[in-house]
Amino acid sequence: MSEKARNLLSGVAILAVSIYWFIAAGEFKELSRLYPQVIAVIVGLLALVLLGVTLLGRGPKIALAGGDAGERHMRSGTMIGAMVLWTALIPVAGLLIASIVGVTAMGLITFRAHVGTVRAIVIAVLLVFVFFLLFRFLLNVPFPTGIL
Amino acid sequence: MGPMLLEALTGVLNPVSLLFVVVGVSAGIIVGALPGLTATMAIALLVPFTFTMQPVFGLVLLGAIYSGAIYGGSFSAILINTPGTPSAIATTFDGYPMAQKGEAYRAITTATLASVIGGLIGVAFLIFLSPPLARASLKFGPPEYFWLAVFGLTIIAAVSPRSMIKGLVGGGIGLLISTIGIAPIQGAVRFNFGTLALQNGISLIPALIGFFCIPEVLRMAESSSTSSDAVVPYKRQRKMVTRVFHALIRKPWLLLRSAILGTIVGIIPGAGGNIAGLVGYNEAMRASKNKEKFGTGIMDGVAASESANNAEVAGSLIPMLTLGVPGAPPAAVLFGALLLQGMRPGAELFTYHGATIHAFLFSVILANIEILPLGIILGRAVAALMQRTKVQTMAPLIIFLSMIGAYSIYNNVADIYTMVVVGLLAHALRKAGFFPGPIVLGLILGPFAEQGLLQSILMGRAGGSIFQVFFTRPISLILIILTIISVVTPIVVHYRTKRGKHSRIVDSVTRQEASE
Repeated sequence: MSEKARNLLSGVAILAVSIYWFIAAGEFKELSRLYPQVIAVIVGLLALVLLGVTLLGRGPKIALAGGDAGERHMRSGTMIGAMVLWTALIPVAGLLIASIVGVTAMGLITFRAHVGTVRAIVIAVLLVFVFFLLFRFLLNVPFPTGIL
Repeated sequence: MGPMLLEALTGVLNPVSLLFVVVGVSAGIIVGALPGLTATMAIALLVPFTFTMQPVFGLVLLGAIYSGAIYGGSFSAILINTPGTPSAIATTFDGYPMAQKGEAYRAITTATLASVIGGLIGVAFLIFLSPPLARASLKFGPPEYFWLAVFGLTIIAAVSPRSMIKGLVGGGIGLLISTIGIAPIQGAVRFNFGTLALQNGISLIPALIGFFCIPEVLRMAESSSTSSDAVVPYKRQRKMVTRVFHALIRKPWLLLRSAILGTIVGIIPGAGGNIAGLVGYNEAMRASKNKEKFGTGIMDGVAASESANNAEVAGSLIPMLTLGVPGAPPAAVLFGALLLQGMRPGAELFTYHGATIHAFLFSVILANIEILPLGIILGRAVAALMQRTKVQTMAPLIIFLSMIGAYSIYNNVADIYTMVVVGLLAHALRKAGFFPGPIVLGLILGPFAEQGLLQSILMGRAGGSIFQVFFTRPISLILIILTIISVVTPIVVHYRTKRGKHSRIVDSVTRQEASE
């Protein structure tokens, strides 16, 4: 996505959020709504300025990292997917199982190229066990066990 | 005062505190030396684990990591031409050319001594300025706190070299997020989207972990390789410390000027160590008789940058401890650590927790002194670690620690969700060019601004004139003038300066962020 498109998209999204914030705050009593509405107006105006300068061709420059954009997005997208899966598993399977799944999934994305698949899985599982035991028994953090 | 200082000294000279200083500085140096791991991330990850410690130990550890990490950034700046932390951007200008000329050890020793001296000068300002500033904060009422928050946010514009408008929008986003939860007056539950988890607002520490750790991890995953295969050889040489020390004390103004500038930049909310290092470097070059040699590998450039960025550490703590306005992202996380320990920045902090805070201040002195032996001793090991470690491999561990950290403060799974959602939001915003610093500043200053605004309105209504409350009190007027200056100055500078020294700073910051 081009720099201009990013600025336009982010400007529109922030404008939409500020309008929502302003309208939603209208439900509250005077002193509870005043501040959020003032901030929503300011943020909305700033979003309009951002859109204006972008459309006039004077928009701020975003520093874009080099390299293959598709590959980069795939790696970060997979990481995000693994993170969401990990988080969703916690109430079901507990932190230990969810973390083994999460760290292994992420390890396969990040370590595998350096250490191979089997070693990546072993390292991930060991890592989780070591830190889990440390926090559970040494620091007495009662981790969620899940419903399973 | 006497008994309190004695108690503070006892607290910091305690073997456990001393051990935490050594461990903190060492860990900080390693974190700082590995490109991709930042001081803010390290502090954010550790804050939840200091919750169960005695406040003094927790603060000592975090302060030591902060100081160590800012110094540690110089290793990768000098040995691989990649700043380990953004603070070390200017160190690359002369540090790497020195290393290429076979003077890597001399450059590291210069960085070490300049960091120690700069850091100590910064701490001197911190110790002498904090108590009177904290006392002055007693004169602050709701209108002053409101204007202070507004000033803190508008100053973002002056220090956002890439985009003033995006800095301001970022601050605004932080302010919007800060309105989630129960309103301070009339108590309405706002923007909780029907969930109990958001009823009390966004939990600060999970949000800070999300803002500072998740986007970094995703950035690491995106980078194809951050391994440091091309580390310049680093060999120890005898008597180098003495030789560099003698060379530096012949240029006291170089270090003093850079340290003072670093401290001032640290005090300004939103301006981090990167700006401090660049300003220190730029001014050293302007004042030098050998301007043309800067950038070719001279020790003055390394000394100026490192002296400034380590002085910035203490500088950033001054407004945070006295007024509750963090001067830099790591100080924002330390602000969260103080709140977690039940300590509210301001005069109250020095009155009710004087011994703990003074022990913390003394520990920052110790941390800066410890940089000298630890930097020299750990140098070779750190260089070897830089060569072997591929930071992407640490991504899953950082996410795991972030989750445990977010959870373990209140043993609440909802805090993990908060951390993940905030982290993904921060990642998306970063992609669009909105950086976490201004957003977090807005998040922290939001409640101050709202409370100040509403209480001032109530005072005005009771006294008959809202205008008088906001616009006629002397401290408020000073803050209003500073606010106007902070908004107008960058606009004027932008239109007046087409290309020049300022643009070198802008280009450097932009280049650094592009490489991240």
